[in-house]
Amino acid sequence: MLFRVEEALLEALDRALAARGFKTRNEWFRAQVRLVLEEETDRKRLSQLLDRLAMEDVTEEDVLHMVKGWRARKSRR
Amino acid sequence: MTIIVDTNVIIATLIRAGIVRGILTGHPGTFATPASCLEESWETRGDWNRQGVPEDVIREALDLLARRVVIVVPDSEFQGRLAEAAGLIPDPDDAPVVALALAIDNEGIWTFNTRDFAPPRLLARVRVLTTGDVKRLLEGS
Repeated sequence: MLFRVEEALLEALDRALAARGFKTRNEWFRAQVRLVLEEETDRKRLSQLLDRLAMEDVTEEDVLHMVKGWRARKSRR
Repeated sequence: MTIIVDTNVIIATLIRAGIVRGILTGHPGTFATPASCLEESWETRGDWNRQGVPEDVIREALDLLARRVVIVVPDSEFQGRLAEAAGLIPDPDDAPVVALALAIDNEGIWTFNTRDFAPPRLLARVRVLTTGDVKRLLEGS
């Protein structure tokens, strides 16, 4: 993939990358790709975990009662 | 846009495969919650984990929610608003959510507990949102 970028913009990018500790544009680009891949992996993992936790026929009111019940017991302790 | 969520919304995200989960996980970085609400979601697991899912699964799900979806704000960040918040809401356990809403720019508090979040003195300071309100807000943004 090729990008055409104005030289001044490229120089500004290089200064910003150096300030963030990257030695080359390539190093920065690889780090960004890694971040995106990690985010995608986490998103898929979260989806799998939530599927395991899901229950049928639970309403917002049921959830509210669970929290209120727990708080009532906590305050009696 | 930032919307504050309370404990019951986080728990519903964990255990209900429906609209609440879809809204929350579909808008990473839009929702914020006090660290104490995340902790409460964990502490209440005995009440909502009726399927007996292993605790490491619950912990991992909460960690990923905190890392990738919801902005978790340490209670120390809104400590200065806690006393004021406690005067606005009957249940002291709800004070952190209200304090966070007083401390940062936000669209309102998303809760299922609209009965307790109804005192006029609270509603004069903070907007309280139902799931329908949140859906409409996000569709309009």
